[in-house]
Amino acid sequence: MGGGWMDLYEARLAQLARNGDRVAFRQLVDHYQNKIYHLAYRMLGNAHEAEDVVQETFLRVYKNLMRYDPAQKFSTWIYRIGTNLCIDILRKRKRKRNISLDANLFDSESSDGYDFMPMDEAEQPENLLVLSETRRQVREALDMMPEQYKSIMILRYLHDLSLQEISDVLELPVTTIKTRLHRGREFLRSRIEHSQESG
Amino acid sequence: MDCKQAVSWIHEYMDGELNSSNQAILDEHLRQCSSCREHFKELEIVEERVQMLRMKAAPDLTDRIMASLPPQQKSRTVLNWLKRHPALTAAAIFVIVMFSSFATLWDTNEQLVISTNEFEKIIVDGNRVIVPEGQTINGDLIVENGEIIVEGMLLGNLVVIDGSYTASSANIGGRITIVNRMFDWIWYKIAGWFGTV
Repeated sequence: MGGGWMDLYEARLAQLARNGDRVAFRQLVDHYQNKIYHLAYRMLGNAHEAEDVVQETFLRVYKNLMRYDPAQKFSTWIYRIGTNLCIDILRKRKRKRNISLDANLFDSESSDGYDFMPMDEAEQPENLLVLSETRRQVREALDMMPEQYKSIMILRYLHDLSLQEISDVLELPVTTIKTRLHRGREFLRSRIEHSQESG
Repeated sequence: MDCKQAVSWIHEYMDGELNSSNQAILDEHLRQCSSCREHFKELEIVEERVQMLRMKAAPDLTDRIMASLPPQQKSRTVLNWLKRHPALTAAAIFVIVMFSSFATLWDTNEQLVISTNEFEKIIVDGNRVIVPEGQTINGDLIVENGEIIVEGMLLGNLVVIDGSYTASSANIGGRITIVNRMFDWIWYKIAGWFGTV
């Protein structure tokens, strides 16, 4: 996520933006729009909602610049805003389908919920059944995980955040992050077919 | 070591948090225990597969984002302030009417006035007030009827009264306040009495 000097540079850009410097704010948009887009796309599964999350994230950053603490990394702050927006959207989806929040989503029987998620097929053309099978399988398995587990997998493996950074973003202790990361891996291991089984 | 411990250590290893002596112990166990070895390989595949979901393409949303931001205030003149506090407009008009003698004084006064604690650091050339490169002014700089050029650093606030300034906002640590026209001057003096600008 960039060395120490990048963090200082971004904190300085945020301070300039706070004083009304739109050019500085635009630089922050350039640095982070792709990362937030990929985070939201992986969490929510479609481009339309991902774009909305990107726009809303930067709007919230802009409106809350007065509250940004330059001692904290800008990346932590913006990742937190983006991740929490995605988690809220996923929770609203669950409520709409009247699935109990207590349901154990690791239970393979309760995977019906997945069918109603607005997923894009755009990632791989539908006619490439074999070539896209592996990615589809892991994507589906990932989408079965509860938001807090899914977000940790995404931040760790697709955004290369350290455990401490994830802890800062989600405002949870590192030990909790570790437990959920370990359980997440085990869940995906159980859902993904391995070469011996698919013969 | 038992297999339950080994699996826990496999996860620690994947987090990058297993020390080298424990890595050796784990490695020894994995050499001997085929089910744990299998378990480890499957977890490695999990990592590989998740990483496969990395995307490259993303739309450029910059213009859309910048367009969605609330409009910006340019300079903090008294008119902007009054727009946000309409109840005070009547009071402001009263003040202007009652203190109109200030206005005539203001009209005739075009003298360059510089206020700073560190006079020795600045250069005055005609009506230009320059903070040279390499100099740092600690404290506020207030200039009336002048053109301010900040090439060095100003760690306080800059107040420009009926003048202009050239500086990057990166060189100025505090706020930049631009005061022009009669109303602003009166407000500036009044605000000065209350200790805020």
